[in-house]
Amino acid sequence: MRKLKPYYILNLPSLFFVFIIGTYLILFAIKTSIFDYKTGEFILFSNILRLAKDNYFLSSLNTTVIYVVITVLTTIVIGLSIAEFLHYFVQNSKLRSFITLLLIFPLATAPVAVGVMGRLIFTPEYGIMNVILQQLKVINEEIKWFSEPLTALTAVIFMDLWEWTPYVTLVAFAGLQSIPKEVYEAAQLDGASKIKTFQYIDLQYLKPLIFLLLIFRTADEFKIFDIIMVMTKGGPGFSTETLAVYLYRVSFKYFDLSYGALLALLIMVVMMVVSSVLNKLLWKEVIQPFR
Amino acid sequence: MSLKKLIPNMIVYLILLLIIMWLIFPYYWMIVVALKSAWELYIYPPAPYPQSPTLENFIRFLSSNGTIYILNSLTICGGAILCTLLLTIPAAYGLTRYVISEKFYKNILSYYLSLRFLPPIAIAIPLFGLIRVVGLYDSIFSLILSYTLFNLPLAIWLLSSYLLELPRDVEEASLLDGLTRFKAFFKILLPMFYPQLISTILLLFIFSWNEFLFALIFTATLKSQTIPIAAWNLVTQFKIDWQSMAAVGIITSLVPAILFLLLQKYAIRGLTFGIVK
Repeated sequence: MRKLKPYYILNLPSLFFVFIIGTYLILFAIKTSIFDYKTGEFILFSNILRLAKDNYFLSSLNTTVIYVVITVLTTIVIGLSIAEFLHYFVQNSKLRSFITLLLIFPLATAPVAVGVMGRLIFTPEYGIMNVILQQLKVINEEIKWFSEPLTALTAVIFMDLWEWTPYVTLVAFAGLQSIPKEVYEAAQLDGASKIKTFQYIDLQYLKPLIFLLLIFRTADEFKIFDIIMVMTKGGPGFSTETLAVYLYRVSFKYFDLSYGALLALLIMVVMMVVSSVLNKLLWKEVIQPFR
Repeated sequence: MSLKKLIPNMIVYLILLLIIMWLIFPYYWMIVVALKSAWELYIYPPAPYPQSPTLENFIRFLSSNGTIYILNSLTICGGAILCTLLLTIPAAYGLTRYVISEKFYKNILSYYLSLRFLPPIAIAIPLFGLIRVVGLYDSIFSLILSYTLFNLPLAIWLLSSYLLELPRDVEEASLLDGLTRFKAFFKILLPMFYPQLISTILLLFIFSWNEFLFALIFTATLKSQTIPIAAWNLVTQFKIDWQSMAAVGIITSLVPAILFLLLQKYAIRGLTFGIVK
């Protein structure tokens, strides 16, 4: 037998750790979705039938897609705008580092705490949001944020944007600062307008970063659980219930682990395909250019 | 200053002020609620600042079970970080300090990156089965295990991205002089590497400290519940105690916020899997 290379051996513990647990998890999910977790009954067909007619699943998928599209696009647009604003209009380095410092806070905050803030801000009895909006004369009567689907979703998205926009800003700002000064000087000599400079310099340099942000942000928002659980628990009704919240409800509130395992398996398979594509794209578009 | 310059300047400062207010506002309100005394809760509309600031809400939480949650959190974070590092430092070293094929390097890293895209809930359901089987339900080890699993990809990516940047020549020379790899790691690499290592540790700590989903599913009692669960327990009470909730929210976010300030320079890198330098 050929001697194993040392770097190979060094990688074995972590590979084994992930591989063994991963294999167990997949086998468990397969077994549990075929045979009932508690009774051991054969349940696969009824599980599949249930999935075919599962309106809650479809509605949570729908909510997730809406949520992901809104939050990903908004965080990227606003985050990028703030980064451009800092890049062009705030030259004072102390001011810059102060803002960067503030931008870091939302990122460090536990999502549960972000949810707590959301509750404190939007709750009708005690929230400050209604007071502010009334002072600004935007509304006359107070809004019961968590009683209506649309306002509940707005409140959750508001907190999500608060947490994640700074992430985009920080990454984009770091990217903007790495653009060499000479590039801008050359553009100025050529008489390029501000819009052209943005289009041909900033966006070109930021392209791989925006791509990275799109992928990471989408993956993160797709997982959204904590903020929604703390703020609305998926309510009112099931209107803010995302995929993760729905899977939690099925598996750990109704304790229907078999059906939950089938859904989990479905997500795993889909994500395996998706992430193999994303992986290829990431290497080509983002990781290679940065090496 | 001329008027022509003054107006654009004022607009810039106005926008800056709005950004700053937006960033601070949720924190501000949480702190205000936590500092208010009990009687202030019944005033409507709520005042924008505490009229008689008090620490009683913090003391109430800490003197009931608060310290137990914090201790659990600290133990779990410490355990998970230790396990993660034991697994990932050799791996990252192997990936970066040897002449290896590009394909091997890429395949391994891609393998870990795909874990990053998996929603934790999809893992949590079968992991719950595993934890039940090995009898770790409601034990801190269930969370040490799951946090190790979940932090592993990030740790390997970050550590190898840092290691790739550190020069190899001194180390190689000392290897030629007969130093073992093991000794060379501690004597030559580690002294260059420790700032990045510490920043990685801090990041792993923050993610473990903030984690909610696994903690919610795998724990049931004070034996193993962590600080985000303490906040959750207050949220789900029938009559919500807003002020305790705010106080716990602050305690939850204070620790990671302070740590993040320490790793500022490495923050963006850590949050992008080491890709953005």
